[in-house]
Amino acid sequence: MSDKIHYLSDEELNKLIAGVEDEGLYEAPADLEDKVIYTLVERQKKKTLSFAAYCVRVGFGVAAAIILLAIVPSIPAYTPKEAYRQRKDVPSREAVLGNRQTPTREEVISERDKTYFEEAKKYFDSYIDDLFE
Amino acid sequence: MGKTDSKEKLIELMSRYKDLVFSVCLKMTGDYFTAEDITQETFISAYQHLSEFDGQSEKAWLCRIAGNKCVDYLRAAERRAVATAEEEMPEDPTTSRDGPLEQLVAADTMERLRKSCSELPEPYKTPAILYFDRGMTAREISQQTDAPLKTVQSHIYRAREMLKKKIRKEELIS
Repeated sequence: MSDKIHYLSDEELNKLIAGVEDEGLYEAPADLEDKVIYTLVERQKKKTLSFAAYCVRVGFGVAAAIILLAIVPSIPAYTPKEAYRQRKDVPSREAVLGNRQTPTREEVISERDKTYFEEAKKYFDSYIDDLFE
Repeated sequence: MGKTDSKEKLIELMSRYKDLVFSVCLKMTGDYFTAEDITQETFISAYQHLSEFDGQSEKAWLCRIAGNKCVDYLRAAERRAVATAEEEMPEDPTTSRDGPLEQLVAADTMERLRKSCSELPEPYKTPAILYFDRGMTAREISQQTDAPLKTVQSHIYRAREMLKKKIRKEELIS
């Protein structure tokens, strides 16, 4: 930006106005007033149109939100768990548990001990056989 | 201030000060068409800021707006110009605001415009002379020449474009 071109100070402005008035004013273009009014009217029309378009967009958004709020609660909720529960051929929990034969704690321990004893016996037998071979 | 009041105030300001504002813009820019555009912008800006005006001096207020817009235009024009060495660039007569040289620039601009109008081909020459030189409106020209208003308006517009090109070409060459 040039240093030479600066905004007019108050004194410079007053001097300029006085100078222009002393020399005599040049005639402004004849249609100037009409052009200014026309430009202002066109700008106002543009502003009004763009505001109307904005209102329409907001209106559509609000309408879509209301429709969604009205429709969504009536859509049946679907999840795989819910769908599974609604099936009629699924056996109940009690029926499944009743068919299952769960060994008791003592049965499991005695079964484990039995297996351990048999394994130990097999090991000693093989060890003794090896000694005498 | 209501819209109607603002519009009436604007019309009042234009009828009173349009010649002054145009003369200031012509003096600062040295170009008829630029001065015309800046004058229009000045009044549009004044209309938009009417509520901020303190009511002290309308003349100084309008000229302040016009002066600032002219400076903005000159700065933008300088940025668009090809860079040359500082010593090669002649001092722009429109940026110096003192002395008789400035008066000559404005007078020369108007004289060149009048001369260029008379050099235009018909059918643009007559409407151009009547509009730019005699200061008649398009409606008045239409009534005088018995031509349709739209035709006159389109001739004035076309003449304006031709004059702009011609004058700027001459400035470039000189």
